[in-house]
Amino acid sequence: MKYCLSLISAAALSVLTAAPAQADESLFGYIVGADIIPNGQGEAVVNITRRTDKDFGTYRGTDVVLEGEYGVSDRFSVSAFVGGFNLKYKNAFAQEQVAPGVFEDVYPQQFSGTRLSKVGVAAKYQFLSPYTDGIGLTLRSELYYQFRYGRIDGAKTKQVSFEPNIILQKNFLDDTLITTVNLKAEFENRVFPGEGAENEIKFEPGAGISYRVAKGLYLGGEGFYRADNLNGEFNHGSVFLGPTIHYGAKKFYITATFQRQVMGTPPYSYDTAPQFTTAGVNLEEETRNEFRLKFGVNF
Amino acid sequence: MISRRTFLGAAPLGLAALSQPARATTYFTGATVRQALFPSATQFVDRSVTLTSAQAKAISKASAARVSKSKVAVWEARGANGKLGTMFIDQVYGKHEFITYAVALGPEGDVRQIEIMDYRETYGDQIRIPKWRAQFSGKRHGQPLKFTKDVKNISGATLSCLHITDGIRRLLATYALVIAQG
Repeated sequence: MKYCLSLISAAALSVLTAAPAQADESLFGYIVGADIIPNGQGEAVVNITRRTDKDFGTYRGTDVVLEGEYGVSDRFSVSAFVGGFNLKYKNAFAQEQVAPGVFEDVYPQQFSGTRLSKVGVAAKYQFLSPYTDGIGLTLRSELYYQFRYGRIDGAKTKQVSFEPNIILQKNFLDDTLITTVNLKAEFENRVFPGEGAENEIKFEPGAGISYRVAKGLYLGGEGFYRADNLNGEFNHGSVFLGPTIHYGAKKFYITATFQRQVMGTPPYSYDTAPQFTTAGVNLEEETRNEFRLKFGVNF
Repeated sequence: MISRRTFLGAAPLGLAALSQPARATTYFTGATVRQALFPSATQFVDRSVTLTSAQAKAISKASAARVSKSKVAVWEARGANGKLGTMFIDQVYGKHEFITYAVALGPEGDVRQIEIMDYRETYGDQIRIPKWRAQFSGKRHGQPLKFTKDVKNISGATLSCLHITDGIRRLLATYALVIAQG
């Protein structure tokens, strides 16, 4: 926990002490906009996601990502990021039935700790501007190496991921009403210690809408569908929805969103312990609630 | 002759700029911008109007720009030999704040000068570059002022350039359809 607090403190300190400004700043927590940070400008963002609530036991995960972005041109930006997590859970996962009457733990029954989890780079290129071309079209791609799997159980891993995201943005009412669609996929190749390699393809299409209700203040909503296919087989899929608030001033911006899983395919535990499993959502691979906070400044 | 107090009191848009927090970058106040736009003027007569719904629709249609406010802050500048021109103080949307600007028209409704009075956005204040603003010189209502075609964009200041262009097209239509009609 101390490590996590240090991570968050360092992140907050780094952005607070950076020179003032603001950037391609995101109006959404999960959905990415088509705007590009201007040429020669930089942005530092701390991205904190709190994930809670499963069917069993206790589970609290906090993911922190620090990202620095730089505008190479007015249409192209690059960024680098480092991620970590604080994860604490106990008896949060059901056993999987591997043979009739034979049950095994899929995940460890408990974990408590703070770890660095990934490092990566990203690039963003704008093909069409929502201001001059009627609709914005931007491609953002991430490439990262992950050595801890913080999203579920915190296990060690060796994972390489490539994550392209096609971003569409249409603005209305003098650019005060922003609508955005993301078509994101993630191609992962990973090895867990003592296990063979596995390939996973995630699909995460999503959309957001945000309206400027007052100077600097946007209110809206966003949602996404997150599904993964493990070694060619569909594993699970979940739909998250929730409200978003964004405030941007001259020197900083802050965005917050609460996402609730409203729909999901049944997890393993639906077969083994249906009486303890919430119907209609997947609380094994996912949590019920996610809260994300972004804080950014430019330099 | 209007007093400074009356002038500022009748210019809520200009005053709005003055009432903002210290972080705002204010280049002109309502009082100083009139001196910059019409240095030889001896009198500014308040011609501010509140647009009717029909007028707003007509302006929107004629300018292809949205009319989001019915109140228009406008003054007639007079000199020793009569009318020198017309001055508007207007606001358009920046990404988070409003951009306040003033436009001076000649007696025939042609753009003489544009000044950015107040700019609070992080990016985009390149719209203050004289060469960019000079693109509007001599333009009147009805003449092409299409963004990126007739008015060049400044990369990194796209939203500001777009909204100022729309705003000037709207003010030119307002002058031609309402103010010039008396």
